[in-house]
This record gives sequence, C-alpha cells and structure tokens, in this order.
Amino acid sequence: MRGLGYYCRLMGVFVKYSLMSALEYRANFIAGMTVEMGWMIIKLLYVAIIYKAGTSIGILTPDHILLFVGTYIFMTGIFMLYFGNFNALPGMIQQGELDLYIVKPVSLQFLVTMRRLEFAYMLPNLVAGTVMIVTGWRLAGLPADPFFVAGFLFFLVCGCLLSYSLFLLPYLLAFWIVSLGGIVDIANAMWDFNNMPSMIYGKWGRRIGTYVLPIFVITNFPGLFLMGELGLGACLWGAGAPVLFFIISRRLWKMALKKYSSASS
Amino acid sequence: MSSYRCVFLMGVEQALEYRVSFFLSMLSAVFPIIIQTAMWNYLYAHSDAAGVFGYEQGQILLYTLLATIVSQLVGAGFEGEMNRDVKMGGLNKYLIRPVDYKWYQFFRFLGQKIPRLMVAVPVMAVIVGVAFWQGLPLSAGRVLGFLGSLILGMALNFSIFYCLGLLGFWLTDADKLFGTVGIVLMVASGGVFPLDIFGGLVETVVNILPFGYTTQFPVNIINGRFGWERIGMGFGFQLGWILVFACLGRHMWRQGIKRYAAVGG
Repeated sequence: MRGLGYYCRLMGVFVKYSLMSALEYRANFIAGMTVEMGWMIIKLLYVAIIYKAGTSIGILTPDHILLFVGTYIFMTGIFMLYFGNFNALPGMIQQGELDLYIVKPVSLQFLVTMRRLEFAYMLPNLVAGTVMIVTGWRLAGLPADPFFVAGFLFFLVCGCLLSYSLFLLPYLLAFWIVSLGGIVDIANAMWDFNNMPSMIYGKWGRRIGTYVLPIFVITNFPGLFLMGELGLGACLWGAGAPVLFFIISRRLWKMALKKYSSASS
Repeated sequence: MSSYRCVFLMGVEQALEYRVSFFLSMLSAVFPIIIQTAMWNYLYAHSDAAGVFGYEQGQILLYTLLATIVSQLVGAGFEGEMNRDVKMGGLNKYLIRPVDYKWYQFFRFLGQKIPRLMVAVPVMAVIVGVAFWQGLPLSAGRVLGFLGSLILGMALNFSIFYCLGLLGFWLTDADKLFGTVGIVLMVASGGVFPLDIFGGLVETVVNILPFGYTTQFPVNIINGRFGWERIGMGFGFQLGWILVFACLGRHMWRQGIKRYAAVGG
C-alpha cells in the first residue's frame, strides 16, 4: 500500500502530462474550451432569468443565487477535469484495456479515474465560477472573515469528493452490463439539478436530494454555510456524506473488479 | 425514388438499433423539464412573472414541456458523419452511386425521426389535451399550424446542419466546432428557454435569425402566444430561411467537391 505522498506525486505527473498534451494540440484545447463555454451559457440563462424576475427564492436573493450557481459552475469545472476517465471506463472494460493498468503497482481506481485530465473543460468553468462566487458573495454582503472562508472551502472540498464518489457509481455498472448510454445520460442529467438552489424543489425534493442522492450537498452546502443556514446536523452530514459515499464507491469498485473477465484483450 | 425509400427505412432501423438506450435517452430529457417547471412555478407564485416575461403561467409551462420534445424532433446529429465522410473518403461511395448525397442524408434523417415521432406525438397530444382541459384556447387551425411549422422546422434545421456538415471540406477537425455550434444553436432556437422573455433587442434578433423558427416558433403557435398575423409572418420566415440555406448548401457543395481529394474510402 503506497502512501499519500506517493499518490500526490503521481497526480503531479498526471497533471504535467495532461498539460503537455493540451499544449501540444492547442486548437483542440481551444475548441474544448468553446464547447464548455457553450454549456455555460445555458447555466447563465437561469441566473439571467432570476435577475430579470428580481424575486427571492425563500431566503435567497438573486445575489445569493448568483453565488449558488457560481458554486455549481465551479464544481462542474472540477468534475469535468476527470470526467473523461469515467466516460472511457466502459470502453476499457469491453475491450480488455484494463489489463494494461491492472498490473501496475498502484491503486487501479486512482490510475483509471485520474490518468487523463481535461484542463480545457475545467478552465472556463473555474474562471466563471470564481467570478460569480466572489461577485455574489460581495453583493449579498456575506461575511468574509477567515472562519467563513475556511468553512466555505471545506465544503467545496467535501463536494469534490462527493461528486467523484457519487457519479462514479453508475459507471461501475459497466462491469455487469454492456450498454450504459441511457443510464449515464440520466445520471448526468441529475447533475443539472444543481442549476437552481435546492429550495425550489419543495420539501421532499430537497430531502431526497440532500440525504438519499446527496447531489444538493455538492453545490448548496458551501453557500448555505456562508449564510449561517447549516445546522450542526447538516454540517455533520456535509462532512460525513462524502466519506460515506467514497467508502461505498470503493467497496463497489472492488466488488465490480471481481467481475472483470479481461475479455477481448 | 425507391433507393431513397430504402435509405428512409434504413434510418428507421438505425434509430431502433439500441432501443433501451433510445428510451432512456428520451427519459433523460425529463430532468431539465422538472428543473424548469419547478423554477417557473416558484417565480409565477412569488412575483409578477407574467408581466416581466410576457408569458402567462400556462403558456410558459406548456412551452417548457413541448420545447424539449420539439427540440429532440428537429435535432440533427448527422453533421459529424458528413465530416468523417469527407475526411476519411467515405464520400466516394456516394459519388459513384446514382444518389444525391443531400437527399441521402435527408431521407436517413427523416427515417431516424420516425421512432421519436411515434413516442413524441402521443406524449404531445396528452400534454396539449391536458392544457386544453385546463383552459388553453386551442383550435384546429392552431394544431395544423403547429404541425406544419414543425415539419418546416425539421426541414430548416436539416438545411442549417447540412451546411454546417459541409464545412468539413474546409476545416481539418470540425468535430468540436460542431459541439459548440450545436449547443449555441440549441439555446438560440429556444430549446432551453424562450428567448423572447428577455424582450428588446434579444427578441428582435431572435425574430430575424433562423434558429428560433425551428423550435420556439412552432411551440408558440400551439401555446397561443402568437396571433395569426405573427404566425403567417413566421411561416414566411421559415420558408425564406429554408430557401437561403438550400442555396447556400448547394453553393458550398459545388465549391467543396472541387477541393475534395477522395483520400481513403
């Protein structure tokens, strides 16, 4: 079992090679950024509508909503950084390509899900998300002392771990079934529920999205913490859910790997 | 003509090849509808949204439900294959056969729409029926107008994306460009939100450009937003833009085929 330092260094190597690849195919890099900016237009339309209506959603003013959607766009950027690896997983299983990685002396899950990083997809989201978060934070007059900044960043990190663990689960079905297309479409469409703060989905929608399939924990909790709207129980769930789902995804990965038959290689 | 009938039937078969994936991908379209319905319901319940956006609540909800379906019906998706035909030499086989490449793509496009139509038409009939029961002012003229504009919308979208696909003669790698343009056109066509809710310059531009006549125009006929004068004018725009893109496509094909090197195939 390798230590954390080893995996950090390995991650550094992945970052280096992904950046070299991005710089080698610059036109491809720019084209990737424009695709992502296209998707961003759709997310920004939601904010534009809220500002045009000029109404609050519960306790959230349009400025708060700008912060929430900014957090969603920021988290989309982080997710898109490694999403391509999830997408490639079914193909690797069907064509037996996993054989090449299974013999390496590192965690197979880490290697397969982090080996290629798409900076072109991450960059526009990260920039736009950061601008929207900072603007929304300032306009809404939310506290910016070290405690709140640290709390906000803590829940962002928790959201990163949760989105990785939660959205890896549907792709693991590829070890059992051949065509994942529709299932993956549905899973990805669920990510878009974060286009709007959880408060518009009603009491039961909010509960399901927070405690059963905790997609709202990913992008709503950082903003709710800043507003002082997260109770102790919610704070604990915000910190515990990522760990819980990471353990589930890890167990399922190990279970799924036993089904791998190395076909076609 | 019999060869085009075969191409049409081949399109139907291709669309039904992965049936589970086909139905699940149609099901994934439900999620954006849920998000938008929740948002509109909230905004109309808590603000003067009808005054701000110019749509009654029933009209905007009907728009949300139907625009997603109409957007799927008029959607293209063959431009990537056209690009590959040009790049890999696949076009050769069409050049030596007694078929016109444009009509080949058109009839296959129509054939691929049949399974979607078989699902979409009953769903749309139920939605419109419920809306009528809830007080939507519906007439046989509007239904016919909707169906006519839908057919012209499909033809217009085909013409636009056919021209886009022909860019493969001039560009080395157009795949990501297609991705970006596809997303931008989906927004510009009103496939996400009706863009005339933003009023002013946006509405004027949307009324002049061709894209809104593929999705926004048909839906605004059936939801009762457009009067007959506006409908007549819209049909004129649809036919005019189809003519423009048909001429443009013809010109691009003639110029492009002169550059075609017939590599591979």
